[in-house]
Amino acid sequence: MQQKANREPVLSVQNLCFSYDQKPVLENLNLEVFESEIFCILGSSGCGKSTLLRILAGLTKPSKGQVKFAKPDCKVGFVFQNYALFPHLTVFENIAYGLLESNKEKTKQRVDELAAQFEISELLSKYPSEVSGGQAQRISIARSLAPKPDLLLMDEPFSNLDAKQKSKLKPELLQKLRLANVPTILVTHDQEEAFDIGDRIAVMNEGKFVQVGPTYDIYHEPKCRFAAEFIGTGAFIDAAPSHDGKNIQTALGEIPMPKGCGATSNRKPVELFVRPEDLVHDDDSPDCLEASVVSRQFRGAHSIFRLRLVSGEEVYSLAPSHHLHKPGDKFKVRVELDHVLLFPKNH
Amino acid sequence: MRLSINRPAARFDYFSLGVAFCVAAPIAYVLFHSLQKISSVLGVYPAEMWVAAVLKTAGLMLGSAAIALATGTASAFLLHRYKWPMQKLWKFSAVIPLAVPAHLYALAALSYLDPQGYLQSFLREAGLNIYWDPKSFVLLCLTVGISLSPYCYLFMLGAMRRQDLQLEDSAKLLRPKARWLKGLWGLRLALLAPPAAASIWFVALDSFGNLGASVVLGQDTLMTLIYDTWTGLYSFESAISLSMVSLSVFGFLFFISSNKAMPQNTQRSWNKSKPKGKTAAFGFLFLGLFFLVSTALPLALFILQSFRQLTGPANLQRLISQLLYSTGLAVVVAMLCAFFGMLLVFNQHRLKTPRWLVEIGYTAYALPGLIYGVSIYLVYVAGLELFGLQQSILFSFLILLFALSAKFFAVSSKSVHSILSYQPAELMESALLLHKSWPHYFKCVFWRGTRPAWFSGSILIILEVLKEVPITMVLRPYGFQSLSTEVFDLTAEGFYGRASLPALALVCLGFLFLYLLDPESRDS
Repeated sequence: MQQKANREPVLSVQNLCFSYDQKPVLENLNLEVFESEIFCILGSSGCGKSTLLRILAGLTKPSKGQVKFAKPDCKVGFVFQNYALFPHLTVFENIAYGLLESNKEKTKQRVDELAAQFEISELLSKYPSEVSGGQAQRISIARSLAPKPDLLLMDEPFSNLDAKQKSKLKPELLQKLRLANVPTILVTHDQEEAFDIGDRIAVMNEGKFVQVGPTYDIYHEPKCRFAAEFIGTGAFIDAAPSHDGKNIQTALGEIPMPKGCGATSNRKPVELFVRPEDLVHDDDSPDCLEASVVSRQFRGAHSIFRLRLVSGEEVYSLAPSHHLHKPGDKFKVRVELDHVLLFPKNH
Repeated sequence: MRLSINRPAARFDYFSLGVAFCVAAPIAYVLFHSLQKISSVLGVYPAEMWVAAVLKTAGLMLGSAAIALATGTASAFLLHRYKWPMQKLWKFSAVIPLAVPAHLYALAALSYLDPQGYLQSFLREAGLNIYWDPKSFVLLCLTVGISLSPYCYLFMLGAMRRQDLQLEDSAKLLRPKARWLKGLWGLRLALLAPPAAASIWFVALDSFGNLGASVVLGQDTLMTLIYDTWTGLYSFESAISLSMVSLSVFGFLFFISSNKAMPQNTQRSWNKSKPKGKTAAFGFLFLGLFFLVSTALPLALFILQSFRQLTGPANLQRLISQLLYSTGLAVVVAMLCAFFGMLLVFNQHRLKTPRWLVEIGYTAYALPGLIYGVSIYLVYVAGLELFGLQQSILFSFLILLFALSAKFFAVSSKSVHSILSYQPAELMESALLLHKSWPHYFKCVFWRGTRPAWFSGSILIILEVLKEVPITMVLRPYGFQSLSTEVFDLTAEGFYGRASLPALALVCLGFLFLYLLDPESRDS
């Protein structure tokens, strides 16, 4: 991915606001999307993601702010959550819908090309009611890409698929989007989906972006409490700076204070955010901390244990799933905190 | 009544079989009689009259369906998409014709347009030498079409509400510059085609059986020929044979019609905007014109002319007795339909009755009222002869109640069936697993879930019975006259002024019951 500074954005949104019945839905949103980028907007249901997408598509007018496209007549493709395939048209006609009808040969060629790319050639004569969910999703994407849009918008494209279909289709879709080389904005509530597909992610809460950045930064360096809690799993434990200000004291022991940390500067109470992978299960090392198991969530190759520390606070630890500790068992962990995340305490 | 969860294969629904037999047997009896008398019908009418009547009937079906579809769809589109000032008035006026029978519109049209009516009198006073008879086939199609337009309106409104709004968004984005049929309108028309076809079908079948407006406007359709022979112009047998001919045509049309439930697919609700520019202008013009034609002008006429008719206690007494008779008959029929319909539908729901058996029970609703009335009369007379009984007012009244109930119970039962078809199949099973009792299921799930539909269905039955003419004309006890038949008789004889008072009473009564339907039911 090229550096942002070298590229002009394909889409630029400035101070976008939208209200419905005088209730603010979107507040002062700013974003830029660049060529060949897949930009994910991640947020819980009802935070305004789909409304933002509709505004970008021109289907809804914003109350305030600007949406600027690099090209004057920017063509926008849209993949709806329920695919919105025209029920009275065949798959071929659905895909061809956005193409100029004057040249039928070229239309057929383009449809055949997309059908081969999305592996739906054998479905061209069928109707939407005769295809499966995964096939409908591919048809919908092919239809959006047929007119060669300058920007592709996708509203939770995998939400109607089961886990197996999702795991199969996500890498396929990513590959096809890269091939098509169309800048894409994908809206989802599924973090795994955002991490799998997105180059950059915007975490959205109550109509505002709380953090925008690469997937690594979003996960390992969340800028606020909401982003930390929303992304992945983790727990907050009390933390207090030491007298010399060089360390932080917690129930997990003393941890070096991160450089430039502003959370402790005003001497208000703070909390340390700990992810499961920060606490490594280790029964043998002498430096280990002892905790007791509260519960276990089996995740296939690994398990996430919820642990109670001596202080009474609860944290999570990731361990290979062959460790069969039951609730109440003693569980030793070694602290390996690569990212120290301190946030002001919520009262 | 204890339920066994591990129940064997469902029992046969004998109750539905009994109802189907009671409803359909008279029709079969007419068919049987007709086959015996068919040779006598050939010489009764000249061939040209036959052909003309058939063509006129077909033309009426097409013409009224086209008018009903055009007005109903335009009303549904404008009221669904846009927020108009006085929105509630326009919505109410779209369904007002439910309360007004076609022959009342014919009466209003004749009163205005007749040579002695307001318009031609005014034009003659203005110096124009004008004298033309408005009784025409076009006027017949117009009056029947307007009276049936609410059915198209409700069909199309339901379809628009169920439509996936994201389809239009997709079309806007994929073809941003396309106009009319290549753009959004092409998609809208394609998606509305199935409900349009269903509503045309419904209206065409209803207009096939129209008698009142056809007689009032002097047009010879198949129904008027049957009615003429029935009232003694030709012969009893001819009425039966004509019924058979109509039945054959009708039966073919009916049994090839489909009755699939529309899939429910509501996404976000439509954000109505205020109309602007040409849409506002044409929309207001259309809504205003429709309100004028369907409500304001007829009502104004009936009110004006009724004041002259109110003089004299005899007129008022007669009106009150007809009002009481009409209302009483309508309410009793509605109650009978609700009671038996509920038992029937619950039984069919419980036993998963085959579709064909359910549909046979609704045959009477699909048939023209005159044909069904003639069928019931034949069975009634044969029954009296068989048991050596004399005709009496009581028997006549009971037979009339039976015929109207058999004809109209489908109005409420079909809508309940439609609601039940949207329910997931697991609802009944989960209810019965939680509490293994059919009466408990009836009380807590079935009755509660379908109560609004029974109420609205009963109101609709009341409206239908108030408007009904042919069955009442054939089967009414001697001396009894409903408001609708009074209007029919007076208008057919040319007494437009005298017909206005019962017409006004009928319309006001209809408005009252129509208003009792809550907004959701009026639009569903």
